[in-house]
Amino acid sequence: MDITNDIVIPCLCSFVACAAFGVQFNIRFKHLIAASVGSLVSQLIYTLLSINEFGEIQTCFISAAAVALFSEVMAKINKAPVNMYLIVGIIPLVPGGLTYYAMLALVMGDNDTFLDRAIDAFGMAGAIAMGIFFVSSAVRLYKDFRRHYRQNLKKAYKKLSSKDGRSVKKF
Amino acid sequence: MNEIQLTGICAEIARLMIIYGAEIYRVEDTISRICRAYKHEEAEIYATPANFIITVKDKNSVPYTDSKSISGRDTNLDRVGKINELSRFICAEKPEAEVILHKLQQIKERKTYSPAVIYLSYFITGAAFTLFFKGEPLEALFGGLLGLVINFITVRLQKVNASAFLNAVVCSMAVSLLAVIISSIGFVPRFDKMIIGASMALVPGVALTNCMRDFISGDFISGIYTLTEALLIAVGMAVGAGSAVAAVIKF
Repeated sequence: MDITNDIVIPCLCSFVACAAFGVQFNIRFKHLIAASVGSLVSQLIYTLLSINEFGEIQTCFISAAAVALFSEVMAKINKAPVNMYLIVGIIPLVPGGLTYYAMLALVMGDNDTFLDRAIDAFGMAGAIAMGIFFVSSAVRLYKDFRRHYRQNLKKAYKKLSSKDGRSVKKF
Repeated sequence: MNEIQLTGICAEIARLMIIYGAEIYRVEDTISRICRAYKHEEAEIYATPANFIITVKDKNSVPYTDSKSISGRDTNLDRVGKINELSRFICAEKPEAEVILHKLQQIKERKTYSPAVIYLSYFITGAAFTLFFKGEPLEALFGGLLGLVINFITVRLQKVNASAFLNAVVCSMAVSLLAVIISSIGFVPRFDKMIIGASMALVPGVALTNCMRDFISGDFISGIYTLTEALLIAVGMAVGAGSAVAAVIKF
């Protein structure tokens, strides 16, 4: 296994490319670095998993989930929209090459190759979507639960304190 | 702040957020928080990527409504973040309408990156993604130059309000044609890596992410709208590159 070619160059390229990609959306420097680190994380997980012979779908799912989690955490820390990190972070996972070759096979009339690659690309895109879906839903559920319990706690506290107040007046 | 001012400010904030590329859940959440800050718990808010309607009622149940029809996209996540901060400020301080309008104006006039930096970013995106997809260094250089072409065309097309689909078709067609020409002159043996690398700058990242987040929060109409947008851009890229490459290979 060639560490430079297999791990270092893809990760470095995705880091630089995503930093430049974020500039197109006017993300400021501080957030830009965080977002690019997100893409670095996703790419690192992607390469490590694919070296260890995980399937494409599993790899994409796990890396997308990782970058989604990273974005949620960064958004919480920096008090910024999650999108800022998520959009940049998932770009290196997008199956650009596969889609291109699928399209090429289609225009050349090679339907078997087209279907093969298109199904692969579709599966990967779906896996990315599901990874983000999974993590973001979990985070939203957690937030909703927290809000719910806090409100309940507040209500209970008010009830308790008002009861105490009445009881004090009575006696 | 009276109801007319409140609805007007809410509609303007929502319009800006949608144009700058925020997802619908964020827009509805922000606006409902602002309305709650001004003691309007029962505000009716309806937002999609194309329009926005808000109705609040005063003490005598007289409804006040404001609506915006939204077209055009100017993705600027920095300003979305600033509007987020503004909404936190509004909820905490409950300022007068003039203060909010002044702050909104400041956000609208926030500096963007200069055109030179944007060109540089397209160059780096194209070059780095060409390397990323296992291209040679010389291919990466040409990939970066093709990225510059994409930005050149995008800026020109945005001036005449061309749709995102048309933009994708024209850009990817130009990139593919130029890549094939470069390789046929003999600078580099293959053209596919350059096309893939440069076209990554066209990937509808904002639309894809927003569509996912809209589906998660249950805004299915907005989700389908943005999904269609993303798919159309992807199809446009395929049509442009495919037609260009096929035409060249056939001759």
